[in-house]
Amino acid sequence: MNPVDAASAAREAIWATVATGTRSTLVDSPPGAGKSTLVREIGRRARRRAQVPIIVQTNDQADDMVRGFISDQERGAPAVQVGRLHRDGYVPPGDLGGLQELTFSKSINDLHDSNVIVATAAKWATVGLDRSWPFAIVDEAYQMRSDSLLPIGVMMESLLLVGDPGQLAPFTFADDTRFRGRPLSPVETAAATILTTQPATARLVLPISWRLPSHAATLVSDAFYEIPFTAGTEPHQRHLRRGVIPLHRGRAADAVNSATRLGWAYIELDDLLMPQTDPEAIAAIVDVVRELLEADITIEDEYGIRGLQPSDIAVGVTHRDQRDHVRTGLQQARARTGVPVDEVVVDTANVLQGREFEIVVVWHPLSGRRDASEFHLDAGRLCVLLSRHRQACIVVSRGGIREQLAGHAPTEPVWLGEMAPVLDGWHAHLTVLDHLVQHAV
Amino acid sequence: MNALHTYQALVAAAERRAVAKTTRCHVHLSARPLVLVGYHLAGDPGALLALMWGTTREEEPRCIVVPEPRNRDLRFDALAAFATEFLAYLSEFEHRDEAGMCLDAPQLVVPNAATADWLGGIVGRFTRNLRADGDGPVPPSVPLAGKHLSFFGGFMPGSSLVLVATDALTAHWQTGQLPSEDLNLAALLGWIDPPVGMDGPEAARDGEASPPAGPDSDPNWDADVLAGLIQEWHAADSEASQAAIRRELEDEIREQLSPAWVDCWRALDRLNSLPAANHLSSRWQSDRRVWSNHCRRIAEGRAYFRNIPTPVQDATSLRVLEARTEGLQREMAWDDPLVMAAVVASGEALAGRVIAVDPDRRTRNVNGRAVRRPLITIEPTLEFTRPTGTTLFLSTNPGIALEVLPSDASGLIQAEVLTGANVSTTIGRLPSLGDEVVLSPYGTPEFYQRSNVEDIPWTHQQNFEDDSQESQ
Repeated sequence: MNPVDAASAAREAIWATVATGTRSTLVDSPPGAGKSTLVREIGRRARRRAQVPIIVQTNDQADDMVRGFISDQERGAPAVQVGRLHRDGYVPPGDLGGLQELTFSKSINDLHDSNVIVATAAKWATVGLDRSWPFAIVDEAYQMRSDSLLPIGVMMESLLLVGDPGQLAPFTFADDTRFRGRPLSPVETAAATILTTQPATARLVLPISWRLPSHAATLVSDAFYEIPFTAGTEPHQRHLRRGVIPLHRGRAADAVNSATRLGWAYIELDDLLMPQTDPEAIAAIVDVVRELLEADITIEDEYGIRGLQPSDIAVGVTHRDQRDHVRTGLQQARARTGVPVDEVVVDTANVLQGREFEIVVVWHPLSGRRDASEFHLDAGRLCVLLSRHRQACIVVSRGGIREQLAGHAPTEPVWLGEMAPVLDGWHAHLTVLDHLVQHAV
Repeated sequence: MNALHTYQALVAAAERRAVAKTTRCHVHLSARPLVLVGYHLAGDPGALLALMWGTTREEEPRCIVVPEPRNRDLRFDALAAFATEFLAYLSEFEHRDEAGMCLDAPQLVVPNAATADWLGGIVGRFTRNLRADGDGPVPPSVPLAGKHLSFFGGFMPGSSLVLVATDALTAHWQTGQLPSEDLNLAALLGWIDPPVGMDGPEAARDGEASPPAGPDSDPNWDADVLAGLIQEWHAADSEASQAAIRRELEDEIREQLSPAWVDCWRALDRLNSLPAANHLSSRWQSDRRVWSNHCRRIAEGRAYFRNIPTPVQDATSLRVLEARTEGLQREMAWDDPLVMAAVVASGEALAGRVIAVDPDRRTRNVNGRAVRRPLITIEPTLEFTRPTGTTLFLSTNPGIALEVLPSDASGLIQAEVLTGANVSTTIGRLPSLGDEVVLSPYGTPEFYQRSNVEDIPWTHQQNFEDDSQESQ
């Protein structure tokens, strides 16, 4: 079966399950496997029976979901009235203004006529629990915390949960000792909660990643996923072409060359222990971004050919202070050179979850660290960073990761009653490293 | 670890004394605390060996011992003796004002977190549901005291109902030893308050040599003293000789626990030497409210403690925990320049001198409307490297939000006021020329109206298989 048919067969199977009226259905989806497409399609089908609430985790995801509905309709999907429920003071993005089929409101009372209502879990928790809906869809169920599912459970009689099990689990910055090792801990994922309380939950998978190119899908599938998946595109369908061949040579230029030819590049800086906001790593990232924008790169894919824009590029980091320092570095580089490097997206893995870019520059979570703590070893963090791209991924790191992993003694307590993570972060890191060193520049 | 705290730890190690991390005291210190230290039998946290407590340092502390900790009758006799006095102490705090709030709340002071966990967690848990009737009855004071102990077991960040001496001291001072070494109260006090003629590390080694502060006793003492006394107690053939052995054990215990008891008071003295932080009274107010509610539940017989809270309770307590954790961090930074200095050192906050103020500046917002956005220019004390667009709040008036504007090569930082000081009535809140200011990431917290979940929904109801089998 070709990938397109396989994916649509999977969607039909999911709809068939939902249509039988199961109380809970969970769909596991690898990165970029058409999760949002699935949510919208099920939403369009289910709204014939009743209004369908769609629960997402962030406002960016909600806006993307609304955009998806609009562009589906432009491609000929049946028209639906979309309600976007939001907090007081939210300003709708400019591109979504003035559309007939779209209603923005901070109150659920204004959205009676909407076929589907999109809002964040936090907003759904405020609508008043005396309302109820027969069926709702939860997007990013592995990113949603169990306590956010409580009000959803009160209002919704049945749920379709969709999510990516390889992503970062939800967390709390507070000391969560008192909740660890408990059944139904509030810091668990919504998906794990449903699987615990509803053993009859139907579990289905989306088998094909449309985002990841073939040279990345295998690695990400091997390193991070229990149920393997494949890329939906053939290697010849995706290409990056350089317009400008630079006269100067340097690691950034080499990295961009490697990334355009092979889809991967690994810049290994000197093996040094450094503070979290390692200035050399920041400089290397800024150089790479500048090189990407100056190389006049053309993207070829199954949709056609177009030029690479700054918004097609993301820089993925681990900590918020790293994000701030990279942003500052890019702003300074723009002031110095005039290249719009500060227009690329810079954010932490947590925020980049669920988003998609053509090229992603990754600051390795273990770069320059003395300790390989559980936080930095988290397989989900690395998985998010390495699975946001459609074309190429460039990783920047200090050397010595292998020694760091080899010398790592786990210090985190073991919590009785807690399920061990399905994936071993230590092993995932080694698999990825083995792959990266082949693309070192 | 924060850069400033790392530096302070290095200074402490080099100068061989603890370094202050704060200029204010961020824990409430009761005028009449109950200082409580104790031991359990090695390897058996449920087997109480001894408790020692008192409310003033001048008095000789009260002490109970269990000559055979495995004997349940003796254990509950001892617990009853403690419970009576504990309840008497707590009853001093039941006077209420017209609004129904207790005028003051009790405060338990323990040497370390392990003691707090042991008393509030384990001892509270195994006594709170005991029955005063039926088989093996216990005095009613024991389960009542257990409920109170359980209440003290569930404290939140910023609460001073239970003061853990090591935690309170490490929040205010930085030693030059490892964080795990700071768990020893005597060693920690050695760094902070060394006796005359000794430096910090010397006094810390000295402290480590003194008997442990509990709840685990010294294994050598267990073998050399305790085991012998327990054997003698079993061998004793008369009540008189058993009583003599009990007195002997009590003397031994007093010798073991006295250092910890004294150290708790020393810790309170050190904390008392700092002026109280501004937000302390509002945090203690909330402690009083919690205590008042607990007392009401006890009085009405509604003080229940679940071993495993329901998902709804857990969700609520996680929300409170997150709000309190954040709130404490924020309030400590607002109240204390040295705490804020750590935030500045980490690069999250901007400190500097105001060198220009333009209160009448107007710009156009996204909708093209002209809006008043006063501009202040700051000469930073430390290089500030956060990106353009970062939102910061004036530390002396956190209602004022500012956004960092693109900077030029001069190194000066320009920030425009977004809210809090941009209309004629609030414009006076702007800092003046020459002011030393700190712009921090801590703004006034926002509150969201949320619907309260009361019953556990289907998504969080766990049906165990044996239930369904029973119903068949």
